[in-house]
Amino acid sequence: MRKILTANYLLSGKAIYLTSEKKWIENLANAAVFDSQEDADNALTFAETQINKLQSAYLIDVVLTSDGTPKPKSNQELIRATGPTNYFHGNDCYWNEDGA
Amino acid sequence: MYSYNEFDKNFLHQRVNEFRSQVQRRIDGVLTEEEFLPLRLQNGLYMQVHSYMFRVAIPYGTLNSKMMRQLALISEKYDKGYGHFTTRQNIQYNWIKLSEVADALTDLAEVNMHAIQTSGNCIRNVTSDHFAGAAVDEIEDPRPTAELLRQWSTGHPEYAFLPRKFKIAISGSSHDRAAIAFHDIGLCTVRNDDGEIGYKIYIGGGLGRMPRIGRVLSEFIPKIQLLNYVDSIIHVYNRFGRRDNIHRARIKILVDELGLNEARRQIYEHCNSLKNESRLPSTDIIKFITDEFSPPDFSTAKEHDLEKDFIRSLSLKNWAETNLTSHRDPNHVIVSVSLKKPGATPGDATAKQMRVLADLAEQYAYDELRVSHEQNIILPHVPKQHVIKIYNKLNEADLATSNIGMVSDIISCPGMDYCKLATARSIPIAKQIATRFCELKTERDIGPLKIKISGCINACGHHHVGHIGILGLDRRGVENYQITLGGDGTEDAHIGERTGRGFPADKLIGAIETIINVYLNGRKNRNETFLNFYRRVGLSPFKLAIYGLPASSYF
Repeated sequence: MRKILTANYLLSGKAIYLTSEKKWIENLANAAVFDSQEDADNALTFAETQINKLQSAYLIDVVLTSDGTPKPKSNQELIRATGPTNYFHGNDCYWNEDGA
Repeated sequence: MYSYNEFDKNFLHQRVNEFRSQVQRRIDGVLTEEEFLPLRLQNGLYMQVHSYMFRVAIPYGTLNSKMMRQLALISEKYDKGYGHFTTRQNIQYNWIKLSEVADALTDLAEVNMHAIQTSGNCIRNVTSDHFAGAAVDEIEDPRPTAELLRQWSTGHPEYAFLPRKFKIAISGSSHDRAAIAFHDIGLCTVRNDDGEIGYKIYIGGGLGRMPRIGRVLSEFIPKIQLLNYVDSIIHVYNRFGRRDNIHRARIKILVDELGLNEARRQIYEHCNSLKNESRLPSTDIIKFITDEFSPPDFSTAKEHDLEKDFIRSLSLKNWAETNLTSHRDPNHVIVSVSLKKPGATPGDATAKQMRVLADLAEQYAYDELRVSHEQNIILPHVPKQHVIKIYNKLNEADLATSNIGMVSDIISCPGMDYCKLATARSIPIAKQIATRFCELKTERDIGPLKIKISGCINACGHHHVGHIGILGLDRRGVENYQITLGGDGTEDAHIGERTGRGFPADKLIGAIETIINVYLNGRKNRNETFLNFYRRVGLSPFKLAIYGLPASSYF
């Protein structure tokens, strides 16, 4: 299994991801990838201590691309990470035909 | 149009202040997200794929220029400079911040707008015919009754926690432009043999995973008694509607389970019990509300021959053929402004475009605008002499797309690009279909054709009632689109039939083209519309064509 932890900021609503330094960032590529359920659960427990900062937090399944960066398995999480496909104004403001 | 009095204004400001303090308590950690959820939903605030989404009510789709300008301002102050007009005649902002929602609500309240009844298990924003007050075939403007229902339902203590959301639509004529047969309650204005005005009432219609055509509760209920019947329907639903299963909680399932006769018996029984404690509005109140919707003075418009304008501009003529509708006054027309430019997102308008629409309404069209459930904007009363000026200004604002009711005038939900419930994207499909038929230049030859796309089974894009309906699903992680044919949201209500297995996105546009070619090759003549052709030949030739042989081999 490979998972990353995602959330939305409470105030701005922005989609964010947890890094290995326990920081929240908007770029999914730099998220910490958890290989064990224990690590994933620990991250979720960490997020639960921040309920006043976060709208929600949950784990998502990812695969690793050839350069080792995580990529969400589900289409919805992929779109969430990269922005809507009708305008260039999402998190990363890009989208290509490969879907990442 | 209806203007709020001091009571209404105070009510709105109290609601905004209440929500502002609820947001603060959430930020301070006094409320958990779970506790806060129903509070924000009651104020139109959802969490979607990318961000918060804020849904603003436009009761029965009616706006004036001041309101439209405020919607534009909100899109610039708090969002990314555009808004999305929805199939519920509302507007949604996709990128709102929690910290700014109360400010946006304050700005809305300045123009008597709000986000009440746009979410949650309550009686939702009442929808209506977008040609109300202007249609040739209208018996009566349905909006005073829609407003009466709004006043009655807003904050109704008994109906704040219904088993599920509850939608009412009302049409002023027998030609249904408000899809009333697909609402929890559909009201059709009718006249009885004595000339008295009343309503034919449908109950238990709806789309979603279990689509149902509304069943006729009553052929005629006198107008003055309407509220007792609506109250009784919702009372019975509130008591006996299922709360154990969210997918079976709408009134359509209760009507299925009770049977129409038993549902009617219970509703009438409750209605009879109300007679001694009449909750009916007084005729004074009905008159007061009706007067608020008095039509403008149409007599000031001059006679004007549009044909002379058409000689001056062929592009105006092309636009007029699809975007103008006859008005009940011979010196006026109804202008439909398409928000469906091929390649653009259906239903989206920029702040600049909203301001152009507001200016046009104010300068030339008695300050009235409507949002249609087909995601377009209507100028309901336009003196014919102003049509050419309006067209030219729409053209400058990239709003003069001439495609109303045509293949590129596609209804599309936001789909997976924005919506958390979606199983596939809708917007790119709508864009591709519209662009494709625009490039083929076959749109006018194809004629009236409604394509409706939903990105999940909940059917916000009304795919069940599209002449061609498209439903986006997830098939093992890949977007897949099912096609239905022959749906109809009008008075000839029909739920589309599924052709068979779905198509991946890259094969879908070809399949739609094949379906349309079957029609073009097989129709008797140009007067036989796609829908009439489908009703004549049925599903088989389309199935054969899209799952195998070329269209030309069947005719």
